[in-house]
Amino acid sequence: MKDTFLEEIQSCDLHRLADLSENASDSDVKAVVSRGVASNLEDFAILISPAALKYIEQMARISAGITRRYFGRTMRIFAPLYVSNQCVNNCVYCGFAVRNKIERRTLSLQEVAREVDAVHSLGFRNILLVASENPKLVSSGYMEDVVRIAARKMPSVSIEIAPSSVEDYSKYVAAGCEGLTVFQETYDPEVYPTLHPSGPKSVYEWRLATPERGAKAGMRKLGLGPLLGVNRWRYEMIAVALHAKFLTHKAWRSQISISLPRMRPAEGGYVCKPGNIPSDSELVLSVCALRMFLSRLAIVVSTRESRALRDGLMGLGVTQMSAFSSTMPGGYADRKESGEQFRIDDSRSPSEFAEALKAKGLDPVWKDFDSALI
Amino acid sequence: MDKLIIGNREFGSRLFLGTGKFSSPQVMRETISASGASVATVALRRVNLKEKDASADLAEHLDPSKYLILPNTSGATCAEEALRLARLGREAGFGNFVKLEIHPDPNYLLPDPVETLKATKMLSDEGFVVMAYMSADPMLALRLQDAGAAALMPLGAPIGTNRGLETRGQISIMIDMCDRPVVVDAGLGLPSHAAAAMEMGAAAVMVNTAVAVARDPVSMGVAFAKAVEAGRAAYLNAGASASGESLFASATSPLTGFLEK
Repeated sequence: MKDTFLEEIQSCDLHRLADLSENASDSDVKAVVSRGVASNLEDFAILISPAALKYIEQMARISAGITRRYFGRTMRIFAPLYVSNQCVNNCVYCGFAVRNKIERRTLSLQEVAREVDAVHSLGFRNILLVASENPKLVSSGYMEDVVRIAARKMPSVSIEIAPSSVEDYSKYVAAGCEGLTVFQETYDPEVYPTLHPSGPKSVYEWRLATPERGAKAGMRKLGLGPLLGVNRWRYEMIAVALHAKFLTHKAWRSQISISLPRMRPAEGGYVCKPGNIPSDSELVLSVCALRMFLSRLAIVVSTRESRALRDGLMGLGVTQMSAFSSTMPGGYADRKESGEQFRIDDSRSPSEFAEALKAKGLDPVWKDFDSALI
Repeated sequence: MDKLIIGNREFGSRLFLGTGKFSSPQVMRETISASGASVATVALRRVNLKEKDASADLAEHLDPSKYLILPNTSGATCAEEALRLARLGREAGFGNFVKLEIHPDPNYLLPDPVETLKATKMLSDEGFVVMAYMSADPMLALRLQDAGAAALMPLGAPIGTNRGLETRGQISIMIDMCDRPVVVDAGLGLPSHAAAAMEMGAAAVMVNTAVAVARDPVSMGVAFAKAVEAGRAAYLNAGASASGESLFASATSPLTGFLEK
C-alpha cells in the first residue's frame, strides 16, 4: 500500500476494474459469492457487475449476516444541519452553485444555537454540520464557534465543510468535533475538472487528501462518498471501496464510513447521463458488495432515497441513516423548502422513522458518542 | 512463489530460519541451503562484534548473496540495550536490517511490548529496517507500524515450545488490519503449523527449534519449505466457503423482495 491515497489511486487502473466489472461472467460472480467474501478489489468489482444482479438475494443474505455480526440489530440516526449555502464554487450539479439564484444565507451564531435546539428537540443527538465553501463567511474561526455551540448540546458533532488544513481540523476536534465527512464527488481526475470548473473545489488532489488530513488531526470518524450519477458509477464505487480500504489501514484510529448519494433534482437542472446512475437494485447490490468487501465499514443512506428503498435497506448492510432532513440553513427552526441543496425524498418525522426501524426489528440509536471523551 | 518485499528488499522464499541450536555450523548451512530459506537470523550477542568484520565469520557458512543474514538483538532486556546491539551490528557489517527482540524475562522469553515500541521508534529514526518480534497483539502491531516497523513478527507460541499457532485469532486480526508484512515467529513446531499460518495470509514464517533439533534437520527444513509454499498457494487461491452453509439455497422470505414492488 502506498503512503498517500493519491499515490494509491494513481497506481490502480480503475477503468480496467470497471471494465472487468461490466464484463464479469456468471461463473466469476458465483465463485466470489460462494466464498461469502470479497477478498480484493477485483472480487468487489465482480460483485457489482450486471451478472451479479442474478445473485442479489444471496448477497443480501450474506451482507445482512455480516452486518448483524458486527453492528447488531441497530441503526444509528443523525441529522444534517446546514449553516451556510453561500457558496463560491460553481459545481455543475449542485443547487448551491454560485450561478444559481436561490435564497442565500449563513447562520449567525445565535441562529446556529436556535437550530441546534430545534434538532435536539426532535430527538437527535448526532448531527452533521454542513456548510458550503466560502472562505470569508465560513471561516475557520466561525466553524470553530459553530462546532463549540453544537457540542454544548449535542453529544456527537461531525462536519461536512470545505476541505481544510490539519491545523484547522485540529481546532475543530478540540472544540468537540468527532467526525469529518467529505465527498470526492468523482474519483476520476479527468472528469473532476469538468464538474468543478471554478472555485477552490476545482483542485482534485487537495480534496482527495482531505480524509488523511482529518485523520492526522484526530477525527474519530471519516466519511467518504462519490456522487453517483456524475460519472460511470461502477468506476466510482470501486474507487470509494479502494479509498475506504486504504484508510482502514492508514487511518486505523478512525471509523470509516461510505455514503452512496445518488443525484437528486436540484436548482440548476443538472441531468445525469443514462447509465451513470445506479438503479435501486444496483444500489442495493453495491451496499451488499461493500459489506462483503469491508465487514466493519459504516454505510450511510440519506433521505435523498425513497421511503420504500430505505425501508428495504434496513438490516441489509446500511448502519446509519439520516431522518427528517432539511438541506437549507435554518430549515429546522423555520421549516420551509426554498434554498435547498437538493430535494429529499423520505420526509418522515424522526418518530415515524424510528417506528419503521422497530418494525424491522432494529433498535434506533440516537446517541452513540459523548464529546466528553474528547 | 510470489515475491515478498520488506524494506525495499525482495525475498524469493517466505521461509526464514534461525541459525541457533544446530549440532554444527555445517548442518546449519546444509539445512538452510536445502530449504531455500531467504533469511537466516543470527544473534548479535553470539557474534564477536569487536572483530573488524564480524559478519565475515558467518559468511564462511552462509553466502550473503543468497540470504539476508538478519541480526537479532536477543538477550537485550530494554530498548537501550537493543539499540546498542543493533548499532554494533551495523558497525560490524550486518547492514540496516535488524530483528528486534527484547525479552527481559529469561524463562519464557516473552517480548516486552513497551520497550519494543520504544526501540522500534528509535531504530527506525536511525534508518534501521526494523522487524519487530512481538506478542500477537493487533493494537501493539498498529502502534509498531506507526513507529516505523518494516515487518511485524508475532509469536505463534512461546519460543521453543513447538506448540503451533496458539495465537491464531489475534494473528488473523493483525493480518487483516496491518499494512506491514506479518511474519509468524516462534512456537511453530510442525510444517502443518507453518502451512496454517500461511493459509491465514501470513507473509512468511520464521522457524528455528523445530528444524534445528529435528532428527534430520535438512529433511525437516525441506518439509517446512514445502509447507510454506503449499500454505501460500492455498491463501492465494482460496476456494469454496469454509462455513459449509449453502449460500445458494433459496430463502423463504426474500430480503430483496421490495425491489420487485
